[in-house]
Formats: sequence, C-alpha cells, structure tokens
Amino acid sequence: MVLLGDSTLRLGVDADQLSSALGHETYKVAIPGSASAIWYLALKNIILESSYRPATLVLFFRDTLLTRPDDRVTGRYFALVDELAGRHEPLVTQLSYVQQMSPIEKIMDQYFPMYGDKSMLKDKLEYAPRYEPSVRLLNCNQECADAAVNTLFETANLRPESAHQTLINAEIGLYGSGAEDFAHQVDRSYLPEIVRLCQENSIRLILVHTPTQVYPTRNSEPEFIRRYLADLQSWLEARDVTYLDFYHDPRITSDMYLDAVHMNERGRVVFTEALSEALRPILK
Amino acid sequence: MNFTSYDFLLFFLAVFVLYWLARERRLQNVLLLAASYVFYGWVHPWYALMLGLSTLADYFIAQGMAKTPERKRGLLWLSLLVNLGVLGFFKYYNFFNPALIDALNSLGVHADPLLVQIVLPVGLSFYTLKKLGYVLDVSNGTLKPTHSLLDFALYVSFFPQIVAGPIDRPRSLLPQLEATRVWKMEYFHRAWPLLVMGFFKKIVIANTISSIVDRVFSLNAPNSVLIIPATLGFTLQILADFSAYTDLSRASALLLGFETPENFKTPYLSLSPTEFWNRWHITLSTWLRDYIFFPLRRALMRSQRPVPEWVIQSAPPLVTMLVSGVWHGAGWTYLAWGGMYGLLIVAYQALGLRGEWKPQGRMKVFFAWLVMFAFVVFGWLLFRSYSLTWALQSLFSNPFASTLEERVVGLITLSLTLFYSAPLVVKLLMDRYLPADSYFHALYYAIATLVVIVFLNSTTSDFIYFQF
Repeated sequence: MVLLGDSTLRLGVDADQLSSALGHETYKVAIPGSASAIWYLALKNIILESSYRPATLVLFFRDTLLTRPDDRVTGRYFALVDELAGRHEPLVTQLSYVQQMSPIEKIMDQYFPMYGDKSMLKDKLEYAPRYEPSVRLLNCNQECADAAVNTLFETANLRPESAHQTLINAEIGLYGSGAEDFAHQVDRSYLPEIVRLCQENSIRLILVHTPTQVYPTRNSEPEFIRRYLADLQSWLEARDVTYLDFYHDPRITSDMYLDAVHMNERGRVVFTEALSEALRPILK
Repeated sequence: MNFTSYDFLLFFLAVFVLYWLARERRLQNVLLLAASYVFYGWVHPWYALMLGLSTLADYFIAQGMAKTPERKRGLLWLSLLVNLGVLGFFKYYNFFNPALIDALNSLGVHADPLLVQIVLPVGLSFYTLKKLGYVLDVSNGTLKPTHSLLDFALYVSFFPQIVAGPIDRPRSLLPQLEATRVWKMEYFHRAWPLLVMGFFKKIVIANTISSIVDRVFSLNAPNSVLIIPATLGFTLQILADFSAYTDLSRASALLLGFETPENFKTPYLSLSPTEFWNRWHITLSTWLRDYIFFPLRRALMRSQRPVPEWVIQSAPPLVTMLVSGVWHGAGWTYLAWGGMYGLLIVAYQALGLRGEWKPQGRMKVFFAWLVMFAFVVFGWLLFRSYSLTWALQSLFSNPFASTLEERVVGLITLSLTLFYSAPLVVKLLMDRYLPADSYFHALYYAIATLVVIVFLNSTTSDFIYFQF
C-alpha cells in the first residue's frame, strides 16, 4: 500500500504503525508542498513505472485540493513539477498552466514570442544582481545563495503569526474563485485521470480527506465546503472509489496540531489509529 | 478590483466606450456613478451600501448647512461624529478587540475572536477625508454645496480615486463633474506614459522587490545586516507601489476627461521633513495641513489665554503628524512613525531649517539629503515593522554576529533594491535633462512596456495603500 500526499501526511501518519496495525507493507510518499499536479505525476511517472506496483493507493487531500490543478505549480513549486515530469506532459501543460491563463495571456503566448520565455528572461535579467555580489564578496555561488535563502526563511525562523499567515495564504487558494464548484472543476482537474490510471492498472484507490484546524468545528465550516464534499463523495461512489472523511473526527482534537494543518506527535498516533481502523475492513 | 487585474481591464474598457458614447454630461455622470458603485462593491456589495448611506448623510448635512446657517455648528459636529465614528470603528476596532474579548470573558460572556473580527472596508479612510473636506469647506463658507446629489455622490465615489486616492478636493473635482466633457486625443497622449509607468512600477518593481522584503519582515529576529537592506527595499517598494497606483488612477481619470492631482514629486530627494511631506502623498498632507495644521495654529494664535510661542510652533506639526500616523492604521508603529515626523519638523524648525530651506554648496546639500534620507528610511522601518521592539532590536543587533545566510540574503536584497531602483533614477535624469519631445522618452516607454510583459503574471498582489 502506498500513501501519497503532502507535508500533512508526512507529519500526520506513521507508516510503521499503520503497517503493523493492518499487516500490510506500507510505503509513504509524502512530498512537502505537493498538490494534485505532483500527485498525478508521481502516480503516472513513479508508481506506475516501478516494477513493484502497489495494490492500494491512499491519497490524502485537504478540502478542494484535488480539483485545483493550478495549486502549487508555479514559483518555487515549479522545480518539483519539472523534476517529476516526463519529456512531454500535455495534460499538465494544459490543466496547470494553459487553462489558468487569462485570454490576454493566451493571446500574448500565441503571438508574442517573448511571452513564452518570460520566466527564463526574468531569471536572466535578475541573475547578475541576485548572485554576482555574493559570489564576489562572500564567495557564495548560486547554489550556496539559494540554499541560504531556503535556510533563512524556514518556518522555524518566522514569527509565529507570519508562519500562520503564510500557511493561511497558501490554504486560501483552496477556497473562492470557483474552487468550491465541484461539478465545474472536476473535469478541469487531474482527478478523473488519477481514477482512470488506478482502475486501468488494478490499483485500489482510497481518498482520505485529512483533518485540519482551518474550520475547527462543523458549524464554522462554510456551506460551500459541505456541498463540495458531498458532490465529491457522490462522484467517487459512482466510480467505485473509496472515500474516507476524517475532517471533523471527534478523536482528533485541537491540541493535536502544530499549526492549522499539521499534526503533532500525539495527533499522528491518534490519526494513524483512526486511519487503520477505517482501512482494516476495506483491505480485508 | 485591482487596477492591474484582468477584471479591471474589461470593466474599464466597457465603461470607457459607453461613457464616451453617452456624450450628454448627466448621462455620463449617471454611468460613472453606477460604474463606481460596481467597482467598489465588486468583492463585498455591502461596502457599496455603506458608501451610499454615508454619502446621503453628508449630502443632506451640507444642504442643511446652506439652508439653516444657524445650525451649521451642530450639523458640522454631526458629520464629524458620523464620519470619524465609522472610520474609528472599522479602523481601530480590531486594535482594541483583544481587550474587549478579555473584558467580555471576565464578565462570563464567551466571545469567539473570529466572530468579532471586523474587516476594514477598502478606501474608507480615503473617501471619509473627501467627504469631510467637502463638509468643512461648506461649513467654513468657502464652498457652496452642490444641489446635485448625483454630482456629490460621484465626487465621493469616483472609481479611479475611491480605493487609495488621490484625495481630491471638491473645488477641483466638482466643477469638472459639472462641466461638459468631450473626448480629445490629448487625453490618451497624456494618459499613456502614466499607464506605462504605473504598470512598470507596480508589476516590475514593487511586486518583485516585495517578494524578498516581505519575507525578511516576517522573520522572528532578523539581524541588522538583513533589516537595513530590507528597509531600503521597502523604501523603494512603497514609493513604486503607491506612485504606481496614483499614476494608474490619474491615467484612468484622464481617459474619462478628468484632471486629478499629483501625489508624488520625487519625495526621496527632500532635504527637510517639511519638504518631504510637500512631496510625499501630497493630497493627504495638504488635506491635513488645511484642515488640522492651519486651524490648530490659528486657534492657538487667537486663543484668549496667551499661549507660549514654543507651543504655537510645535503643537500643530506634532498633532498633524500624529493624526497622519493614526490615519494610516491602528498600532504603535504608525503612531511612532507619525510622531517621529512631528518631532523632526519641530526640530528642523527650531534649528531654523524651515520649508524651502536649502544649504549653500553641493557637499552641504548632499549631507542634508543624506541625513533626511536616513530619517525617511528609519521611518519606513517603524512603519513596516511588526512592533517597535522588533524594529529596534533588529536594527541594533550586532552585525558581526550575523550568519552567512543572513549576510547572503542581505546582500541579495541590497543588490536587487539597487537594480530595481535604477530605472526610476534613469527616468528622473531623463525628465530633468532631456527635452520633453526627445525620442529617448519614447524609447524608455517602449522598453518599459516590453519588461512589463516579461514580468506580467495572472495574479498580482494588491497595492499597499489599499489596507489604509
């Protein structure tokens, strides 16, 4: 069994504890900062390409993340997409990039040759002022400078409220701008392709809605999230995909979190127990 | 709606075409008023409702002042109470919120902090000053109130200005709203450079530099080798961001046939704090000067009880700048920022270095500029910081105790700040030394347009001054 997800999976589930509880060999692929584009690429290019394919894939997601193909695919996340992508990834290009462009951007991309190379041009323009001074004055090359930036801005060095805000800003992309309209979003997302790939390769797909503290109580959860999850559940049922919802699981309480979305040690133990209880009858 | 968003582009194109097709002044104003309310209520329609109600209140208050002059004073107090009450509630409620929640909890009433958070309606601080300026002018007898509710409502809500100014005066904007407007190609010729520079400063300079500045200001305990370059970066960011907004606002107004005031005149070249405030956010500083500084000074000078000269000299600038600080936001950092400028103005005046002071000799001018620029940058550190303690601890931390990571990021920040300020310096030199019809200006705008395209992104952050 392979568990696939982002940092919430990394901190929230103990693969060894789950293996012993279920008696199934469990392998955890938790990629911090990943979202649906990365999960699709990891499934297509790593899991399905490996000689040892899992019988079950458990995919962990939060709220609307499964139907947001544009989430975490640009900026610093681009390197991760690039790393997992093959030579030609027309679906990723279409869903995560072209589909997200405004009509003006599409026109620019089509008729203005410079526009397609804008990221490269911007990098070239900034290269000298960004890296040359540290090479010359501090003997620190591009790799060293990039590492310095990453180390300095690690979450541990941020003010707690800034770290919280950064997290909220990252999460806020999951709500609004039509993200809550499941029927409209699903065909523009990787979800149908993930389901198809699993079914064609005889992999049992289980989707797990992970608990967070973004909406700590059922009352504080907006109506559109409930509607979205109900639509998702019906859509998955129609395709014979198992759906497990731990969002408001009473066993996982607010003191089991490090921040709004990541669990602490205690949370990991309790959530893994809850997960193994839910998976046991399914995997029998 | 953000000026650099795709939504705004479509919105403006539709308004522009319909507006110039309308031809008749009244119809144009109706269309602009409707467009302004759509623009303002785009995200939260209740913002537009609040704007409408407060506009009606001030319209009738001004009419009442004209009809019953003996009730002028009472009506003025009513307007002040309504406008400052609403502004104070929305702007400072959250600042006092923790104390309020504690008080409720101590009374046994459980208050959920999330439920009692109040969102400040965008632009409230700006249109409140516009309305207050109108009511104060009517009350002083320097302005006749307009009888047209349509024109007054449009004066308050005019969409190019509503979110972050410029804070136009009724004497300047109302006559334009009452005049016939016919399309002239000149509008486009004058708006185009403003549009190019607005997009260039926001998309290329402000957004890029903010990506590193914001991260440094989110650190728990940055070293001085990091905070000084980051503050220089913020110094560039806030000028580029806010002046870009003003350029785009003025360009939009020009394309609709309106002349609106400038807000910036190379403020970082100032030699004294008074000069800085004559060049930075000009429409706010002239508003504060006309409605707080001058009246307070007059009141002190005409006071029946003799007021010492030093109080007459120092109280008006101190109070005015403290109000400026508080207007920007609820927090000790804003108060300290405003207070710092108040003290600086008093100190410069005490030294005999008043408004248009300029020392003799290039070296003296250079040092005067350097000192003032250092104060400006220090002011931005206070303004941008999370808390005063955080700002001072960061600034005075030992630079020799910095890590390699801090030195590298500090150097990158400084280098990028210098790199992105270069286009503004080149533009300044071109404006100063080249004739207005030089081909180099056209070349500069052409290159700037290409660079904007390279930096264009489907998502762009809000302008800094939206939060005030």
